[in-house]
This record gives sequence, structure tokens and C-alpha cells, in this order.
Amino acid sequence: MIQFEYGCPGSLMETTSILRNNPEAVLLAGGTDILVRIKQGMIQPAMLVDIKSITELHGISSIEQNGLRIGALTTLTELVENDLIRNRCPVLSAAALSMACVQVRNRATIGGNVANASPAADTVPPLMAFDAELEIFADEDIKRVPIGEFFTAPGETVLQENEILTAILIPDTARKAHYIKHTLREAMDIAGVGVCVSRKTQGAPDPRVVLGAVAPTPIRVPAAEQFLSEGKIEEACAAAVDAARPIDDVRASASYRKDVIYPLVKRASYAVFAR
Amino acid sequence: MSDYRILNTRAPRVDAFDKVTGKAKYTDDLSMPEMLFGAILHSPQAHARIVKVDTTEAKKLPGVKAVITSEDTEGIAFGVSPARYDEQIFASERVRYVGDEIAAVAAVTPEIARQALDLIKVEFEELPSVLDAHLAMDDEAEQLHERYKNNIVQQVHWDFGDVEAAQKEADVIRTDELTSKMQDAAFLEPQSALATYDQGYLTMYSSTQAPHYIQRTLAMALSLPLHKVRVVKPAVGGGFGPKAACSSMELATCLLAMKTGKPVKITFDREQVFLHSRARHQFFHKMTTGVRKDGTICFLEHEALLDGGAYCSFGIATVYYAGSLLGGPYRLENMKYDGYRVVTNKPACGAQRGHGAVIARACFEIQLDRIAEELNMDPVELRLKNVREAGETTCNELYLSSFGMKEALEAVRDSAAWKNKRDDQPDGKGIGAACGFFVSGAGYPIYYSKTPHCTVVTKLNEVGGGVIVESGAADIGQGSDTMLAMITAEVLGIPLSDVRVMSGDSDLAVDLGAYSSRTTLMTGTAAKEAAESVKAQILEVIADKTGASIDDLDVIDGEVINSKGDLNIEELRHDFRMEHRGFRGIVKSGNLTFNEAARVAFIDKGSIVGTGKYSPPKLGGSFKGAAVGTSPAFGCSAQIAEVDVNLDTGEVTVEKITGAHDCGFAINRTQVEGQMQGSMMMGMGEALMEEIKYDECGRVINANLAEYKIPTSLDMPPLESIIIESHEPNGPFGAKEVGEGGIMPTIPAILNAIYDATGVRINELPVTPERIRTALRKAGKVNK
Repeated sequence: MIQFEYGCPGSLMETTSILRNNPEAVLLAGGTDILVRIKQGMIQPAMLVDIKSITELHGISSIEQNGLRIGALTTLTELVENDLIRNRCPVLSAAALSMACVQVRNRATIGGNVANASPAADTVPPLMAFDAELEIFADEDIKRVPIGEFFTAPGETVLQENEILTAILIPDTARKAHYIKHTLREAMDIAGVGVCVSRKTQGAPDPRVVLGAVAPTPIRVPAAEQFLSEGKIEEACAAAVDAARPIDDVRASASYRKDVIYPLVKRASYAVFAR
Repeated sequence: MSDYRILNTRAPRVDAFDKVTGKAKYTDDLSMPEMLFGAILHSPQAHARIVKVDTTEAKKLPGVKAVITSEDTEGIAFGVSPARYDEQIFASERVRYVGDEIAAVAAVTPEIARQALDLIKVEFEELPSVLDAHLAMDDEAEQLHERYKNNIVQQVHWDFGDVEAAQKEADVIRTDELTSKMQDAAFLEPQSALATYDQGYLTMYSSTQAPHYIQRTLAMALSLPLHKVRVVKPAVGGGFGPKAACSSMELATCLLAMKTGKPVKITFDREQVFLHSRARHQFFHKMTTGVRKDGTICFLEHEALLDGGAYCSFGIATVYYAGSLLGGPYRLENMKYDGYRVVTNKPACGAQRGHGAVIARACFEIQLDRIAEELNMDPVELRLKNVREAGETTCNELYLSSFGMKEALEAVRDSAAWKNKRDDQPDGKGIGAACGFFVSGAGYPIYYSKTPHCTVVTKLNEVGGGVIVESGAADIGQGSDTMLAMITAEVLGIPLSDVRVMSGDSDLAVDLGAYSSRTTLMTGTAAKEAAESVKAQILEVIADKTGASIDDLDVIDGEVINSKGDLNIEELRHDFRMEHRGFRGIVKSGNLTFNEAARVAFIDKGSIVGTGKYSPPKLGGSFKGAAVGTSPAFGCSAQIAEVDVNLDTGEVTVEKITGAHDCGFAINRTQVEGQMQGSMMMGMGEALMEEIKYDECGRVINANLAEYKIPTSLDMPPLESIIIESHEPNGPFGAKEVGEGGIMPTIPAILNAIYDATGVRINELPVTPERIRTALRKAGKVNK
């Protein structure tokens, strides 16, 4: 029998104090990733700290003018179904809908998807394309980190041992965005390549071009963004290809990943820049 | 529509309620008092000598009741073909693939059993591993088994007609190749077995397709009298072939039960399903075909190499099927075949839906399209010009007693609007057609025997009324129980709900099992015979009691009808009513009911039991290997696939598949369509996604259903299923196979459509987006 201690704190303060006293503890949100890894023997955490009872981690609300605050424990199903998200940031709903299956989406959380720091995480390219910020509870204090500065390597983030990702903030949702998840099949599949392109809906487009699954972390491609803002889509696609550093794995080869970035960025760009 | 009341309808399956509500019990759902849980230690090495297995620490772990290794098995060899018993329950001297079984443990909990596995110390001496089928045949290659020189398990050399002479007649001659990958059958239910051993009687509940063969193998390997071994098949969640042979796991479960005297259960996890495999081989086909200008096929020269992994399993049959089933559905009088089946240090392959014939069929059907293109002929027309008809015999002596090939091909051509779409499609859109041909039950058992292939015992309920059908047939989800119930109800003239089917138990009757698409034709025939016997016995008594002639009597809608007028039933009814004082719903007027007649017959004769059997006639020619591919009947099918290929990314969307299958006669129309659609789904997966991937050490790197991709419901396009009924004279009510034949045209239809869409030919399965892009690049069709 796999054994571990189980904690179920009711507040963030309590959680950080558990984490301080148990450096080996691992946070448990939806559990769709961590429980699988435990069962496969990939990790053996001494303690699981279940944060699902902490109320401030739940909920989706409107902030500032047209921004969003999405609690870290928001499930993928909520992202798919919530009216605020669907109206203001439909690309995030679409990205969530592309993930796993109904049963997993009912459990898996956006916070888990972000904090796991998979290069192929589907919610991340849309969030990066909206300049999202991450709200982090640290030392009784709340800080904000731009999502582009959050990831350091596959599975690695700037999050310190007793810090907790509490919410994802999208300060301004006035953007049009398109996410393409390139997979072999229509469900139960992980992105071989993910591409998200966005532009402001008013004024200068100030585009974003984000690639998933083609580098150690999801990446923005500033050169491609510059080309897009000049209306040069082909050049933007080429710049995205140049920026990618994919690897070979069981899902696709590095060369194929490179090969499809161009048409995918092109398709996403047309979707966003088409009138 | 037909004159039948029950047959040819869409009657709900007899197991539908239990399956849908979760009431149905699968092997792993079963539990017994004091049951122990088993676990198996698999080899982490692809090829190694076993120096030492030390189980001391494992045996000491509290909760462990038994640890067994090859030392406990007396060197027993087993397998599928008696001439190739090359498997052991546990490897004794060497392991031959990552996953080979080394030891097994029984413990009071599954966790302790797994923990004990970690305590078994195995010392290996690594051997060079052979992972490439071509290199396996080199003289310098490491030999996996002493008995298989050059690692060749079986070779076939056939030469029918006169290929040399036919070459001179051909105007166009083409050579093409196709390579596939090892597959997983991806059934939902992982294998599970539960064994009990009590007073010399061994009972095993197992997730199997073939209780009979398991029973025989257990008795042989464990030195038990056959009649003291009983194999019971609970509900099974799919098999598709890999569950047709007895496994080391099943034998280990029995050994542990015999050793501990307690019930023992072992259930595979998904990774073990992949390691055990016994699914589709990897095929390398090379075909040279010649045709005349008018499209007449002159000859086929065919070379095949099959990579079968570490053991023979069904491999002999596989390599024969790969050649023999190209004998149909076309008029092909000159056919040469050279087939080799080799062993490599990978999980062993066996039979999977369309056994041996699927990739050969794909290669040939793709080649026919290329030939049609060279002849500037419509590929459907080319096929129609060559298809055989009922009454013909193929060059390898397969007799086609019924054959709706032409009808099937014309049906899909017309339904899919082939001509319009073929001529007028934008770049990236494509349409492709293909045909298929398959046995309706293998003509011979796996071991040499003149045994009936199945028996059925149908017994009248002794208190009056319904019947119980006892059969050894294995309903593994394909619906054979429903088929048996429908045939029995039809023959007896009673409602389907009055028939109860007990099946899948070696104590009930003999049945070779659910493989080679045999059950409807064979067990269906036996069930028909058994029901007819029951009916005759009842009517004989009624004729006797009423003075009517038995020839004038029949049972229709649950009532005994005399075609020559009224039946004198006063006395019979009086007795029946007297017997049932206090019962409600006892008939007072009208015709004699079946329930009354059954009771009357019982009172007169005692138990009324009807039996039926099926033994095929002598089939096939006298050449070596002629038995494989023989069948009392042959199914055939045609499909048209429509695809949309994204030329920039290589992604393929199958937009529609139109299929037609000649099943002789549809016992249950919904089930026939279900088998057709399941075949198309499996074929589509194999065409576009499915591939077992290995690392350089021979380890499967995608041994799970997340990374071994089969289509999901979201991937499936609309499927049109057209049933062709050619009325097979050797089948019950004209029925023959639909379980496997339907997969034959799917892969080539999709590949032919991809060519139509892209203009590039891909000779390696699965046709992934990456392979399409590579082919486009080679053809200079990628601009950048």
C-alpha cells in the first residue's frame, strides 16, 4: 500500500505553516497529475496537502475594467462552461475543452495545469497571449508574477517551497485570440505543438505569438509579434519557426514539430487578423 | 423484409441490460472467500541468460503465501500450435523479451504481492538482442530458440497456376511494398484470471475468447485429467484475437491456486496487456502483380516477412493466412507466395481481427489502385472486372459457396456517389475504394482433431415453458449469446424472452471459441439443430396426444398450430389447468400454448433435450498448408473512404466511410452493423495512428492508451453500413461472418483516398501527419 500523510488545511496561512514544517509535502488540487504519478511510482511524496477547502482559491470574478480573476482551483470544466470566461476570454474555454476527457476536466484545475509547468500545458499559451499575471501567496503576502517569468524549465517554476499559486489574473481581456492544439486525435491527447496568437481589439494590435510544446517552457516570440504588428504574416511564421527548440519524443519528432509551426502560426494569425 | 419473426430484426441484445447498468460481472469483479492476489515478475531485459533467481526475501514477506518460478513448473512447454510449443510458464534459462515471465507471487493483498516482486532478485547475463526482423534471418544473428534456425519459425512457399507463363501475358507489371507496425488490440478489459483447486478439480474463470483451448492447455501443462479442468468465461470486454490463446498468466494463476489451496486471482494492468501483446504482427509485404490492358489480373508474386516477437503463438497460421486470403475475392489464377515468420526480442504477436490478412490485403488493394492509374482505368471498374462470383473456386482451392462481392462493391460505389467525387475534388480532398475477403470460421481446429467444432445442448424447462441453451461459445462482446437466443426462439416459435442462454463454460458443451469469425455459422448451426430437435420432440408428443399429423403441426408466436384445422386439446388443457390451480394467467381458451405443449411433452417423456453439433465438411486442397484459409464459407466486403488532408501539416480527417459487407444473412441487423463499424474504427486507427513504439533496448515506450492512440468517438466520421445478403448455403438461415472481414478494406480505402488527395504514395503504416509531410517533401510538393 502506498502510504503518505494527508493534510487538509482550511486557509492559506495554515497551508504555508504545514509546508514550512514539512518540506517534503506536495500540494494536491485536482490530483489528475499527481495521483497518476504516485500510482506509477514516479514520485513518493511523504505528505499530500489538499488545498481544495480553501475558499479564496475558488471562484471566477471580474476585475478592473474588463479583466478576470480566475481562482487557482477553477476546474477545466468551469473554464469551458463559465459565462464570464466564455464571453471575455473564449480562447481559454476552447483550450480547456481541448484537454483530456470530461471526467478529467471535472477534476483538473487551471492552477495545477499552470504550476505543473509542462511545456505542453494547454491553458498557458492563451494566458501568455493575454499577458496574464499569477497571484502568489508568499509569507503572508500576495505578490504578482507575469506568467512569462514564471516557468524556468520543464516542471520547474519560480515558485518557492512555501508559496502557493492562488489565482490567475488577466488584467485586460480586450483581445482577440486563437489557439491551435496540434494533436494526432481529437480527444485524450497532449499537444504536439500549441500555437496561440492574439491581438488587441482596439487601437494598435500589439500582437502576441506564443508557442507551446516546442521548447523547455511555453515561449513568446517577440520577433514574430513585431512582424505581425507590421502586417507581415509570412515573416512572423518564419520567426516563430526560428525561435522553436523542439525535441523528439513519443508524440512527434523535433523536425516535424518545426515543420508545422509555420502553417499553424499562419492559420492562427489569419484567424485573429481576418476582418 | 424476411418472413422471420425474430431473425433479421434489430432485437436488443440479451446482455444489454446487465452491461448498461454495470450489473454484468467480468473476471476481475469476481471475488471468493480467502482469495489471494497474484502478481507476475516480468523481465526488464529483452534478451538475457538467467543466472540466478533468488526468492528467499520475497517468501519471508508477511502475507506472502507462495512464490513460484520455473523450478515449480517441471519444464513444461506450451503454446498455440502443438508443433511449436516454445513457451514456458516461467523463463528458466533465458528471457526473450521485456515482459517475459520469470516468477509469480500469491499474497493476501495485491499490494503485498507487488511488494514481494520487488524482493525477488534475478541475476542476468545480457545477450545481444535481435530487434529487427530482417537482421534476425542473418546467419550471424543471435538465435532466440535453438529450434528456429535463422530465427525462422515458419516459411511458406506456394506456387499456384503458372506465374511464369502469366508474366508473358501481362501488359502492365508493378512491384509495390507496404510495411506496418506491431499493434495492440486495445480491448477495454485487461486480461484477468481467477483459479480454484478443490479435491482434484481445477476451475478457472478467465477473460478468454476460447475456453476450450484454455481447458486443454491447462490440463496438458498441469498434468490434470481433462474432465477435471473447467474453464468459465464471465462477461468479457473484448478480445479481437489476443485472448484466444492460453497465457503464462492463466497457468501461473492455476499453479498458485494448486500450491496454496486457495482461490487466486491475477489481473493485468494496462502495461502488462501491452507487454503480453499477442496482437497483430509487423508485416513487410512486397507484391508484383501483372495485368492485361483490359484490366484482367494475370498473376501475383508475393513475398512477406512477419515479425512475430519472441514466441510462435499463432504465427504459423498468421504467415499462411497472409498468403492464402489473397486467393479471393478476385479471379487470380496464378499466385506465388513466399512467406517467412521470424522471432525477435519483442513481445510475442498472435492473431488480431483479420488474422494475418489485413496488411497483405492493404498492400494488394493499394497496388490495384496504382495499376488502375497506369491503365487509366477507374479503380472500382478494375475491381468489378475481376471479382469472383458464387460457385467459383480460387486458385488455392477455396470454394465460394455464396459471394456478394460484386453487389457489395456496386452498393458502396452508388451510395458514396463515387464517380462524381472521384472526378471532381479540390486538392487535399480524396476518395478511395477497396475490397476484402475473409473466412467464416477456420475449417480445422488448432490441434489435429476430428472433433466437432461445437456442440449445443438445448433443454426444455421441465416445469413447462422456456428453454435453456447450453453452449461453450464465448460471447466476448460480439453478441453471440443474442445470436443463439434469436436462432433458438425463431426455430421454436417462441418469444426471445423465453430463451435463456448459458455459455462460455467448458462444462456445458464443446466450442472451439470466438476466433476466425466462426461462431454464427458454426455454433449457430448447432443451435438451430438442437432447437429443431427439441421442437420435433414436443410436436411428436402433441401429434400423438391429439391425433394430428406431426407434419401439419408448427409453433407460431408461442402457440401450436395445426395447418389442417383445429387441434383437439380439451384433455391436455384440462390436465394443465388442474396442475396449475392457484396460478394466475392460465390460458382458458384459444390454441395450445408452447408452455402447455412443453409441459405435456415433459410429462410424457421426461427431460426434453435437443443437441446439435457442427463439423465442417472436408475442406481445401492437399498442398502443404492447404488447411489454413479453408472455411465452410467466405465473407467479403467493400468500402469507400473520403478524406480531407491538410497539405501544410499532413493531418488527415476521414470524413466518411461507406461500407458494404456480405454476411450471408443478418441474424441481427444492429449487431451486423456494429461489427462493421467496429472494424472500420479499428482499421482507421491502424491506418492513421496505431503503432507500438520501442526504444533501442526493446522496451515498449507507449504501453498505455494515452500514447498508443486509437480513435476516440470524436475522431470517428459518419459510417454508412450496407448489409449484403447472399444466403450462404452452409450457414444457419444463410448467415456467415461479419466480425473480421469488415476490417479488410478500411486501411487500403483510406490510403487510396489519401493518394487521391495528395498525389503521394506512402508505403509505411500508420500514415501519420509526419509521414505525409515527408512524402510530400520528397515529391517536391512542399514549398518554402
